[in-house]
Amino acid sequence: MDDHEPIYGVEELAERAGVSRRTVRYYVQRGLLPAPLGVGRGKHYSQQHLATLVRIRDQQAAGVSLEDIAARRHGVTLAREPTRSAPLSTASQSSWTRVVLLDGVELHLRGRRLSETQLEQLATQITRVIEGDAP
Amino acid sequence: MTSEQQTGLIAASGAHPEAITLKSVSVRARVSGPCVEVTLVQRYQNMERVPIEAVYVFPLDEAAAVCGFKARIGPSVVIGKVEEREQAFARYDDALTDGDAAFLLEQERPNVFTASVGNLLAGEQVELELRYVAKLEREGEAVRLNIPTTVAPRYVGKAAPSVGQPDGERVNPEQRDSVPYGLQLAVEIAGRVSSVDSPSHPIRTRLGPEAVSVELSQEDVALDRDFVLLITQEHAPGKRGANAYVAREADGRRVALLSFAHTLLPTPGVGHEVIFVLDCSGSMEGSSITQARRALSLCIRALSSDDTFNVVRFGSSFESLFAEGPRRFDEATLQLATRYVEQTEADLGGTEILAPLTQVLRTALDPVRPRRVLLLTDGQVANEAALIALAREHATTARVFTFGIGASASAYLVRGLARASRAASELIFPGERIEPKVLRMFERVRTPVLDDVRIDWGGLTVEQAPSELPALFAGDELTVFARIVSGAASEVRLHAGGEAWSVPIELERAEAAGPIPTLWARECIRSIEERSERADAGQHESGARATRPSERESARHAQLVELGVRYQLLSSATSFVAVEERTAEQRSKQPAQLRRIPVALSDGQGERRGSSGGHFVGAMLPMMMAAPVPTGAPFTAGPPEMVALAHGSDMDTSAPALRSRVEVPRASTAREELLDGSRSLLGRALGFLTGQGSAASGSARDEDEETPDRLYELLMTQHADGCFASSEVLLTWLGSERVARLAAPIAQHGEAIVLTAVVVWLLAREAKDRQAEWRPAVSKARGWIAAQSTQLDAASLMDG
Repeated sequence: MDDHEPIYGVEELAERAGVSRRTVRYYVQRGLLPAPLGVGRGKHYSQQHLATLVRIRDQQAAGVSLEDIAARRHGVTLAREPTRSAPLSTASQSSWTRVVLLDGVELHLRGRRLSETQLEQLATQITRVIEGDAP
Repeated sequence: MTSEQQTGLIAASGAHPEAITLKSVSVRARVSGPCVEVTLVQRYQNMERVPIEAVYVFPLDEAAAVCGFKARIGPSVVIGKVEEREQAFARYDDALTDGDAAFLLEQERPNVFTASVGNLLAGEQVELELRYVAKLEREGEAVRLNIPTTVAPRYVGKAAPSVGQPDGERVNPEQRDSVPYGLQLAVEIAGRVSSVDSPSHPIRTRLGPEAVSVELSQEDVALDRDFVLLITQEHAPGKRGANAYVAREADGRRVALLSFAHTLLPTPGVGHEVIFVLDCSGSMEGSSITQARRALSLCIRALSSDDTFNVVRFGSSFESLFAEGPRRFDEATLQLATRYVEQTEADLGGTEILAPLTQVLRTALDPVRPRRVLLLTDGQVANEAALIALAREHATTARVFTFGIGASASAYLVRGLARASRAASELIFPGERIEPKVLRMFERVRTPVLDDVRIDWGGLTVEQAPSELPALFAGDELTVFARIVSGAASEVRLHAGGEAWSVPIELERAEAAGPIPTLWARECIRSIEERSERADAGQHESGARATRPSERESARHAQLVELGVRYQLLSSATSFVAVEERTAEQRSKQPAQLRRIPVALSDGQGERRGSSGGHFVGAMLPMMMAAPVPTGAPFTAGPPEMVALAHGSDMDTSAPALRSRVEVPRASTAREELLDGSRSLLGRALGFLTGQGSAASGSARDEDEETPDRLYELLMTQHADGCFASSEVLLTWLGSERVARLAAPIAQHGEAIVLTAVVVWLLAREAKDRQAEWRPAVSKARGWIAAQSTQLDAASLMDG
C-alpha cells in the first residue's frame, strides 16, 4: 500500500461521497462497507472505502436493493438490470452488464456475458489503472 | 394446577429471550385536567460478551411533546440535550467511535421513535428515561389517554430509490409473536374522577380524596396493544363556552391556552355526498375488519334519502360498489351496500391508500351536496405525509373523517388526515363499543360545523398555534395556544357562527410552571411538519445528489431546530443525545455489534395471534360491546377479582364506575399458565351468564366481535325509509307472549306500521341506556310513521 494514499475521517468520507454520516454507519453495520481502520480516535477510512461507498451509493440510487448489493459485496459489485436504466443503444439487448467502478467511471458490457470472476478481474485491473497504482 | 406449572416459562419463538437487550418498559402517567405528563423508562442490559449497540423502535402518542431524556448507568446520570438531528447523530457517532457510552433518541414519525443505546459493555445495564407531555383528546364526556406500546408492521409501497437506510426499514422493526420484555404501567389522575374505563387492559383502581390511581392488574403485560384509558372527570375544565389559562416561561414570556366548547344544534341540512373508503388490506385481518364492517353498516344505515353514497374498498388495488359513481340512498342501494359490506374480507393485499383516496377526492363534485369521505383503516402505512398532504390539498372541497381501527392503529395518520381536511377522527380499540363512536361521527358528518372560528386577541400581538383554526363539530372542544409577543389585554374575543364570546385573560396571574409553553411549541412543530413537502419526516437522501431541499424546506428545518432547541423538544429536525465519557480503561475497544430489538406483533392481526392463542388459556373474557346488556344493569363486566376497589377514607361520593373487560397476555417471560381453576371456572360461568357460552377462552378472540348484540341486529333490520319489518331478533326480543298480542293489530293495520311503532316503544323502554345509539334510527322511524295514514299507540297495544 502506498504511503501517500489519502485517509479520511468519517465526516470527510461522507462529504466526499455525498452521503450522510448516518448512511456511512448504516452501510458499515450492514456489512456493505468495511469497518474503518485504526482504533479509537484514530479510526479512519481509506481511498478504497471511498470507492466502495460511492459504488454502493450509486447502485442504491439506481434502485438496486441492499440485499443484491450485499450479495455481491466481495470484489466488485455488479448491477445486471437492463430493465431499470436502459442502455445507450437498443442493439443487442440480450445481455447488458453495468459495473460501477468509481465515482463517474462505469464499465458497460453489451451482448456478451462474462463470469463474475472475469468481471472482477477486469474491473480490478481498470480500477488500478485509474487510481494510478498499476504496476 | 400445580405451582410448578404456573411458573413455567414459554420461550419466544425461534430465539433466546435472554439475548434481547431490552428488559422492561415502565410507564408512569399523571393526568391533570386535559393534559398528561408521562415518564417512560426502558431498561436495557447487555447479556452478551461483546459491546453492543441496541436500537429500539417504539411508538408514543402522536400528540406527545417529548421534552426530556436521560440515561442512568449505575450511579451516574447523563442528561440528554436537544440538537439538530444530524449534529446529534454526529455526536453520537463520534462517541461510539471513541468507545464512550452514548444515547440517542430520534423521531421517525410523530408517533414512531428510535432509541439507540451505544457501546453497552458486556453485562452493563442502562435505564433510558424519557418524558413527554400531551393534550388528551376529548371523547364525549371523557378524555382518552392512549399509550401505544408496539409499532405494527407498516405497509411500504414502491418508493423512489434513496440512499442509506430505506425509510420503510426505519419504521418496521422485526416483529415477533411475543417478546420477553413486558410493560408496567401506573396512572395517576388528579382531581375528582367520576369514572375510569379501560377497554384494553384489566386495571386496578384506587380512589383517594384528591386523586385516583390506576395500575395494570397484571404485573408484566405484553407490549402488543395500546393501553387505553377513558377518564371522566367530575369538573371537566372548560366544559362549555370559552376559558383561558396563562403560563409564564422562565424568561418571563407568556403563553396562553384558550379552550372552547359549544353546543351545536344538529339541524338537518342539505344532503351530502358520502364516500366510505374501507381498508381491506391484510393488516386489517381479524378483529379489525369485523369492527370496520360493523361501523360501516351502521354508517350506511344512518344515511338519509337526501344523501348519495358509494363504498370504495382497497388493498393493493381498489374497487367501488357503484362503478358509475355515488347513488341516492334508498332501499335498493341500501340492500346492495349491505351485501357488499357483508362480503368484504381483509383480502386485498397491501395498503395502497393513496390511489383510491386520490380518485375519490379528484372526482367532479356534486353541485349541491358537500363531499364527505369516511375512511376506515388501521393506518399501518409508511407514506403518512403524502396522504396528509393530499387531504390538505382538497380541504376546501372534501372533509376526510377517519376511524382508526385496531389494537395499535396509527393515530398520526388517522388524526393527521382529519386535521388536514378540517374533519374529525375517532380511534376504535378492539372490543370498544363502536356504535356511540359511529353515531357521534355521523352527527359530525351530517350537521353543520363552525367553520369560521376566529380569535380576536385584542391588544395582544401573539404567535397563535395552530395558526389556522380547525372546524368545530358538535360536542368537540377547540384548543388554541398563543405565545404572547407584546401588548396587553384583559380579555380576548372568540367569534364563531355569527356569535362572539368574551374570555377574560389574566396575564399577571400566569403560572410559572406547567406544560402550556411546551404544548404551544409542540403545536407549532406539528403545523410545520404537517405542511412539509417532503415525503416523510425523516432525513432522506434522495438518489441524485442534485436534489437539495428547497429554500422553503430549509427555512422550515431552521424553524424546527429553533423551536426544538429552545423548548428542548424532539421533532423531525431535532434529536436528543446524551454522551457519557469513559476513562481510557473503560472505553470499549471493539466495535459495538448492532442489535435491533424485536417488537411484539400487534394484537388482533390476523391468524398469527389466533395460532398462539393456546398460550393464554382463558385470557379473553369477551364481554365487550357484543355482550347483550340487561336493561338498567350497570355495564360492569369482567371478572370481579380483577378489580380491586379500595375507598380512600375521605371518599364520600359513590364509587366511580370501574370497568375492566379483558385480560391480556403477559410478556412471555411472565406468561404463566394463567388463572387457577376457580378463576377460570368463574370466568366461564360469567361467559355463560352473558350469553357468551364457553367462548370465554383465548381462541375466541375473533369470534367475540361477531357475537350478536340484539340492539345492533335490530337496527340492522331497518329499511332505508325508516320502517321495520318482522325479524327473528325482534320476535325473540319481544317474546312469544307479546308477539301473540300483536297478531290482531297487524291483521288490522298491516305489519310495517305496527312493528315500527313497537320498535320505537321497545327501544325507549328496554334499551334506554343506549339511547345515543338508537336515536337516529328512531327519529327516522318516527318520520316514517308520521307519513302514514294510521297512527298507533304502541304502549297501550303492548301493555293493554
